[in-house]
Amino acid sequence: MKCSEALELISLTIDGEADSKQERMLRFHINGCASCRRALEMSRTISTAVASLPDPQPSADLENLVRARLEFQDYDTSPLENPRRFLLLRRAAVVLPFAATLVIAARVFMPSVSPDTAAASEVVEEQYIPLPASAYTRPVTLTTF
Amino acid sequence: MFLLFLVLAGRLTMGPITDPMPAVVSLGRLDSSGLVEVCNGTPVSESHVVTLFGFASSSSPFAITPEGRLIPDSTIFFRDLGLAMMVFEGTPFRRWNDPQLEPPLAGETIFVAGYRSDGITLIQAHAMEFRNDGTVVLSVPPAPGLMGAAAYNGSGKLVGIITGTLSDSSGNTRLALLPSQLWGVWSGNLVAGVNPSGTPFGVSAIAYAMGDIDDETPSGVLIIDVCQNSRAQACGLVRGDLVLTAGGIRIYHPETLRGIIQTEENIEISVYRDGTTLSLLVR
Repeated sequence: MKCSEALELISLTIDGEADSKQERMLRFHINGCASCRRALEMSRTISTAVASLPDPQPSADLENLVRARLEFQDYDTSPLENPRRFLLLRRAAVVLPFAATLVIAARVFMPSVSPDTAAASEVVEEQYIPLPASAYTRPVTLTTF
Repeated sequence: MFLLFLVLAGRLTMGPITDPMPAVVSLGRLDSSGLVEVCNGTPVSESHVVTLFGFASSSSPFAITPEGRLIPDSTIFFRDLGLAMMVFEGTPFRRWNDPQLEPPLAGETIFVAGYRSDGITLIQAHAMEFRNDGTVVLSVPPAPGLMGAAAYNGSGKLVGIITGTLSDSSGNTRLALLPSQLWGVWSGNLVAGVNPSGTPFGVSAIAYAMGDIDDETPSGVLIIDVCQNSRAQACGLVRGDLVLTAGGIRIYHPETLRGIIQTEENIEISVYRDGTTLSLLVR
């Protein structure tokens, strides 16, 4: 069994979801693999530490608060907590399509820009792309010191 | 559920990473089409950032900070390890970490922090396989935004940089970690302003990594030549010696040996010669 498979079995074992055959396979693997044995030990330690944390307790008046809110029927009147922010968004919903129309009109009626100008513009510069992952190799060179 | 437990536990135990953000910087460079290609950098001082050689060596890279784009004053390259050090004017970086000079332990939990387009990403992995040249294969596949990302252990110590991908023993593509053990002396000396050409030691050397599984020769720094009347000759080094440690630090590259010898006196080095390991004292 490979280490990558062993790590998956460690996850299943910690969750109590591994069957007896999987547990046996993992036991066999970690007998000869210090790396996975340590991964299992660390996973068990973390799992035990998290399990020992106290369960979150709801406040004593949670039920009353929920009932009161249901009574006033304000639970779904707005998805936003801040009514002022909601008003701003409603205004934005009117203004943004208008602004978009202006931008499109400008693009249609304004003379086109050269590729060099476009590359230098802020709009193009703000497009961020992550460096693609590539295989790691290391050259060996002679060093004199 | 188990993964959630791990994340929660990690957040409980990680000091520097969650308090308030990991010490990692987003770097950019303009590609030929005018887009900004981004990579990660790891601050090792208020003004020094370690990043990937391939990223820093083309175009003009800059740091992307809340205050805007910062152009480095200079960039120092370390091609053999695929790294570069960007040096900035002033003290623009509020958070940084000293590289740890010990490798991660087998199976140790590693947290990888990098910038994606939607903000910082934090990935949990294990140190899965250790290569003869000192690199470590992590247990997770590559993901966007992790090139050049900083890697921390559970105690929040900087243990290395993600330099790309490697295939594990099953043929799966995994993240490659270049432990700070290999480059921490180099970066530490640059931050401290040590002259890299300093007093000559008197050797020519290359990195040597153990070959196939039957090769019992350990990995280290192979001495190709020793100058007459040099410090190297005085301490007993001869051609063909393989330097394994210097000052207690495992050596995989001549630059590490040079850095230690330049900054410290009476260094004990362990050398593999004719199947046995010797201890020599460099004065």
